[in-house]
Amino acid sequence: MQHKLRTMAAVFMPAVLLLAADAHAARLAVVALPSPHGQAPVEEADALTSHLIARRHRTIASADATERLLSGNAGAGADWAAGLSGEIRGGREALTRLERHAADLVRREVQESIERMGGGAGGAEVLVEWALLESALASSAGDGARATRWIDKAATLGPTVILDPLVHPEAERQAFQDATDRVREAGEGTLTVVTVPASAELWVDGVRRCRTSCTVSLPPGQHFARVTSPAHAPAVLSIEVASGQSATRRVGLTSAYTGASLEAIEAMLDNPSRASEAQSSLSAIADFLDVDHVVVLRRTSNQSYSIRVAPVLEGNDAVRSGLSDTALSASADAMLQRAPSARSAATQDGAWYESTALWVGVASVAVVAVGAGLLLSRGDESTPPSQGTLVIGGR
Amino acid sequence: MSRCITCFVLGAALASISCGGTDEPEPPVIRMTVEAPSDRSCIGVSGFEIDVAVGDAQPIQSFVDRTRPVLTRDECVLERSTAFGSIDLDAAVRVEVRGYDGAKQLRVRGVASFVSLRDQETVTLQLEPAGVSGLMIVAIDRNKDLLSGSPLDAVESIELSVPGQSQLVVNVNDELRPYFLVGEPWAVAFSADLAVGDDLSAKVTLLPSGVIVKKLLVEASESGEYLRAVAQ
Repeated sequence: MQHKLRTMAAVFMPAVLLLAADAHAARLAVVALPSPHGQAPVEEADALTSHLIARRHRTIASADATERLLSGNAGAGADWAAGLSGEIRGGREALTRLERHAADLVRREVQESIERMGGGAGGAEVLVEWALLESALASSAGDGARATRWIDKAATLGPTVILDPLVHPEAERQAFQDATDRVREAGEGTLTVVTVPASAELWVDGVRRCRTSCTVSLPPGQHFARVTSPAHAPAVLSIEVASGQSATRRVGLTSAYTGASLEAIEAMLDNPSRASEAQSSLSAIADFLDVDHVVVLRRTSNQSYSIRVAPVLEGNDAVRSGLSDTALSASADAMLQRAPSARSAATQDGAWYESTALWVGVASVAVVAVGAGLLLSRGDESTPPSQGTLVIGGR
Repeated sequence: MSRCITCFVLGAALASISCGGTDEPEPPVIRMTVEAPSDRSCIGVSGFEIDVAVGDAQPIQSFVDRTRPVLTRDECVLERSTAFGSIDLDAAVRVEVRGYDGAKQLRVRGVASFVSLRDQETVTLQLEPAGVSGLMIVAIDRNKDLLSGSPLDAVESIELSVPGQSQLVVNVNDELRPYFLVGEPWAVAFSADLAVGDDLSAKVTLLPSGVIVKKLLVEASESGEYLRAVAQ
């Protein structure tokens, strides 16, 4: 890893030093584009970011920029909930195999996802399942009080949810039923949500409740809330509601990025006739992120990258800042060509067919293929089939 | 050069397989049908999703559409068969079937896990209520009572609301379309405490532009298992 980072630094540092020696501080965002030639060059983008920051540019890192661009577009609906339910079931199965560590990892991932999505918009069932997994984990650790608290929390999050008898044992279903009875008996509190702009959808604990500004009644306890509106990034709230009390939350919704997707921009950059379209799309990203320039890093092959800056600086500004598109790309290309990692092994080590290891590998594969073929051909009539067809449906 | 090597390896394998091989017996077919839940949670289901996971591999997914929503418990079946071939008979298999209503709200779910499918012939998968419980199913004949002659595929969104109560906004996006474009009536689970004789407001947004606002009257269905909303 250190070697890789050192290589990155060797690749980008000279370029940036050359370009930014006389640069004035600019507000920048680095974006690593998804690539048809492999993964997005995330590590390379991080190396570039750290060097731009070292050159006193105020720079938004690639991961943060990408998250802001995707905010509002990521799904939190039924598919998200179904995926999370699958993970939770995996966690429960791990627990039955006494693999507490694996179950704990699932629990943490699910919790992070639920908190990030504000409970999502895929129903309360997944939240209940998560709380019951927490309870099962606490129970397996011998912490009965904590297990009970999580069952109570499950009942608070989804008092109307019916537990799947295929997944939940009778004792757990009964404990959940008792907890939901207690929740129903407790006095409710109210939550009022006011948004700017108004008329956003309010989801509480995965269920759509009303259109803001509005007030909902909730059982006492902690709840997840999510406010969504077209063209705005979802706002996520965590609310503590007390019995008989009223709570009010005011939420300012921020605009969501509605321009071309990063995949679309990558396709534009791949097509010279769409260069101006790509430039406009990148400028829209700069506007949305409120930065002077977006520095886009894209992989053009397994071993090479190109850099774009948008909007393009003209004349003296470009020279002074060292951030003109052509200057940055040309210097980066030059640095990449000098970097050892950018050269292919074949070019350095001679023709590929001169490698002894390659021929040993080919011979091994051939021997295995022939052996497997002979084994397969020896199968007699009594060998049971190894595969079958599963037909689901019909009357 | 690389082509020569590939040909050599493949040729050797094929030659060895073809030398005196015998036919494997016919692969068995395991049939699975679904059993409706004991309550009426399947009413309104307009399509099913199936996940089949073999061993540790990623689940294979399939969608089974319906000609019209489930309106009686007897209709709670997958009308069309879906075949999943080349299933390893000795691997653990997990099958999940989920049923969604006309607004793609989860209504029923069934899960079956097998240590192996060898020796299995027919299996029944029990569906259970899932998603938000306690909702009322409302069925609307869109062509007759809602769209005033506009085509179904021009619908961008439908808002159903009961004055002073809940509202359901259904945006007809690509994800929802397979569940929305089923035969009449359109059936959705609605959170309001609806009763026969209530008024239900419907606002339909059409593409490229146009809005239809209708006031519907809630009636009991013949079976009594769901409600119908008809134009007044």
